[in-house]
Amino acid sequence: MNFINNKDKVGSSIILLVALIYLNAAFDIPIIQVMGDEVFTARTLPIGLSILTIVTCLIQIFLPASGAADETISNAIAGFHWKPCLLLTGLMLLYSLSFKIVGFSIGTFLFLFIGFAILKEKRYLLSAAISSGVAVFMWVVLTQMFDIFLDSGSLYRLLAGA
Amino acid sequence: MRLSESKGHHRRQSNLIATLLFLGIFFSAGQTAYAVERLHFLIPGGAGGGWDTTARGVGDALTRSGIVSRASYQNMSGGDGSKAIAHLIESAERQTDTLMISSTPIVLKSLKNIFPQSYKDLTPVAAVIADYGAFVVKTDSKYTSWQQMIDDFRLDPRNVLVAGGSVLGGMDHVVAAMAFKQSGVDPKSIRYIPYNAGAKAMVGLLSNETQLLSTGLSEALALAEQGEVRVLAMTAATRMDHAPEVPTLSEQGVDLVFTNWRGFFGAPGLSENKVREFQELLLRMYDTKEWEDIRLKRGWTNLYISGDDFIEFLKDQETEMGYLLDELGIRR
Amino acid sequence: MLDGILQGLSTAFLPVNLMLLFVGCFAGTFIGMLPGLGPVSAIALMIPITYGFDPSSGLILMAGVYYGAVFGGSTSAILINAPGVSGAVATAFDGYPMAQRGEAGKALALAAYSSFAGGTIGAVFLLLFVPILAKLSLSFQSADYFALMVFGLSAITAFSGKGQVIKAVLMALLGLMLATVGEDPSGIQRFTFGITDLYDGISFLLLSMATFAIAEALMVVLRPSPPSKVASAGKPTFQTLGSMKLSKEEIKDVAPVVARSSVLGFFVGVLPGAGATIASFLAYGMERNLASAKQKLGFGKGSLRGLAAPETANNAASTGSFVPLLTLGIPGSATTAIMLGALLSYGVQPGPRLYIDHPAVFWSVIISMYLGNIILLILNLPLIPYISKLLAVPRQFLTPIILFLSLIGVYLVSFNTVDLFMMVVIGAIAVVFRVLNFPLAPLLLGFILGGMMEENLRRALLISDGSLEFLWQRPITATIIIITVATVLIPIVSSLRKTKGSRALDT
Repeated sequence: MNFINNKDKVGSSIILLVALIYLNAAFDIPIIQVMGDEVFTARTLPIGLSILTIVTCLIQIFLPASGAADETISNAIAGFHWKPCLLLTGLMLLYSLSFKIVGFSIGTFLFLFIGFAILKEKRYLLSAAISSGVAVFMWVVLTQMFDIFLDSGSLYRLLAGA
Repeated sequence: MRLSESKGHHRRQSNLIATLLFLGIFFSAGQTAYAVERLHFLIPGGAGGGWDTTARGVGDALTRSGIVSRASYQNMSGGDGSKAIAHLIESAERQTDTLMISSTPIVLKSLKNIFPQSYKDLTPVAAVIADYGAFVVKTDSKYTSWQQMIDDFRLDPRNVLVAGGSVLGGMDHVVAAMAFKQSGVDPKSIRYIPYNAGAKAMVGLLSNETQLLSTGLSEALALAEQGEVRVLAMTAATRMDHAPEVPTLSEQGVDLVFTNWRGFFGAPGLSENKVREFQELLLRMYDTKEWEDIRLKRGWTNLYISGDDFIEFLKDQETEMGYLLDELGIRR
Repeated sequence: MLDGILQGLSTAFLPVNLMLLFVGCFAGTFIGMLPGLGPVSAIALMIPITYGFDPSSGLILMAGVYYGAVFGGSTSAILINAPGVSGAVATAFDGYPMAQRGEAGKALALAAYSSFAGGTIGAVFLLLFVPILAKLSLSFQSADYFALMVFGLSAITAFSGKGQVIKAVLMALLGLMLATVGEDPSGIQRFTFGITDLYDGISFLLLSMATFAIAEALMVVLRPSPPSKVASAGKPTFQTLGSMKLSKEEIKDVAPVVARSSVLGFFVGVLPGAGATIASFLAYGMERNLASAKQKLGFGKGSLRGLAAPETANNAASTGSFVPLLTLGIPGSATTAIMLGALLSYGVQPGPRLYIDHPAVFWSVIISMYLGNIILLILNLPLIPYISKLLAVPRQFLTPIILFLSLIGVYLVSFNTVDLFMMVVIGAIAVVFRVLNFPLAPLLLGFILGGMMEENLRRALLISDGSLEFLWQRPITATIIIITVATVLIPIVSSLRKTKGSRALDT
């Protein structure tokens, strides 16, 4: 079993990388000496944590690989449906980025409708009904019942001329 | 030190005069039912916080008394309030009905140069209520006066650990540092113990972890009435009507007056007419029984400063606090 | 005092107040089920509605809403792995696997019984020991809180299966690192890289929704469908409600867990510096440590004990958190802070004089807590079959809806769209860790305990002038430290004994 295909080793390597970046940034934390000689500064814990993490990662990486063949990554991801997963992730990013522009109601409708389509729902009329139903229901509950302010979005304001 | 001098002791009369004047204008202006149809409050913190309760309290008083027909509230936390400031600047042209609640810590944060935008980019409308700094000890504490505590502190700074509900360089710390400094003590020698909320700092005091607590007067009085704590001194210019037993710092020989205001800002470039309209409706609010009711329950003190006075006041406060942060070595 | 209790009883049992309690429980459950809307938002929403109510009635409504929201939060945690309230995060650890196994009904019923038991036992403690409890909540200092957080971290090993200890420790360390993002106690920005959205740090709710709800929904899409190709995608077992009944053996198995967790939860809740979330994690860890080797394997995979412990502790702690609020006037959590706001809006200032000045208010709140738990049980048990119908929604519709609810839930807390972006990114990273079989629960544990651990350690050091003496100077600190060392060492020693001679494979 090679390194690249071992779950534990790859995972630890990712965390090792994070810890190294973190350690580097930890040295940039300014120290303010307000009360003179402080033992424990803003840097102390971050530096301690990253060293501890780095050591633990190295132990995991250099320890003899344990576990059976099912620990390999190629086994774990066999048959994964990457496409819909990535599309959904992209859709969520788009939703979060466009929220201020399209607003709650239109954004939610589009998010749900496209989301259903990504998961191979072909009954578009039903999809549209469910998406608009959920969007309207949540809008009514949040803004009308609970009086929570939701951004209607600049697109809506443009269309409504408000 | 004339710090953040509020025109507090004159506020009753000036309110009255202003209100009378305003009523005159209002009625001659043609009897509209509402001065403002719609008011939107932008709150830089989450539900239930100090900003939130103040904004909703003001909004409630305004709508219930019929001064404003409809008020909406938008909570926007993030970046210690800077998110809301940025939002207000970004969308200024459609925020003409928006009031953002703000208070002294916003000035303090701007001083630490961590915000890309500052409150100075906004249009100041008015301060509405005030709170003062209070220094609190447990009921069974050996200190009965501010001076006694300072004397003990001079013997050894470790005798008096000061708790506060803010980080180092936050408001509770800065107010304590100013009071110690005006008592002739090096503010850097204070042993300040930071807690992440005023309530947690109060627990620190009550559990004998610290000897002195720096907090807001309204919070302190609430617990003092319950007999848990005593207020050694507070930072208003004169004694409070509702708590005449609490001495001020100045009458104990410490030259410090400090006001933690809460008030409103509008979007940048707000028209003068609009600003005046906001100021007038806030002034009208003071005389409603709805506001009196909310104010008394919350233990708030009226403080109205507007226009150039408000800008001047903010400048003074900024200079004084900035000077102290420099002295503490905190400002970057 | 008896007078006060009687007065409180008669107030709480007024038909109007009983009805308000019922309405409150119902509204609270509904609000709590929406991810992101927890007790804080629920109570904040109620304050303007109850304006002008008699203080007792208003507070009874609030108490109902509060308990309802706490309970509703665990429903979404069990059904869709979306713990909308931080106190329900640990409920998802075993509740969701149970639902996946086709035992959603049993999981929800057990959650309802556990909440009821935790809440009721808490209310009884409150009723009996109020005067002593005020002292208890002031008995902990920063050094003791520090020790308590370290004790909580020692539960990391409890979250990990065989051969997983190093991975669990790594994830906990990652959580501790994430907790340092934002402003530190000395007012310094750490790891914010100039991004204002990071100044307040990462919210626990965001992190748990991203790593649990979003990551799980994506994993469901990612995983190959089971071989049995049912027309409407998804696992057939997942859609079944299953029996709601607990067998006699199961009840016998869970009863001691509930008893222990309610005591632990209540006392942790009484401490103003800890709170319900910590209580639920501590109870989970404690039960895992106490369980036999065979029972341990079930944890994290749908163990009844693993579900009952945090759920009981969460509710007992929620009740306990009323002690510092009612007796000292000090809110120990965000929820009790907003309850304080509600009390003040009725002109009631809580504190040591509350039950002298307003005995009816004081006792009717405590009694309505007890009644609220009964009403919740009556209300929710019949609703379970309908609520779990949600699982029968076809996967292609359910998954996007879960993603939407999780996103909007986090948005409703901060109203910051950058939080949504952050959440999706963290969710995607969490998927990678799940594929690599790295456990995510220790990450959350490290995150929630890490921040408080550092804060209290730094305070303790400031107070002791930089000396580590505080570790053994206070009896409470020393006791907790000794217990912690024992919990960590005993399993290691006993496993060493057992495997003596044979090779030590795992750590």
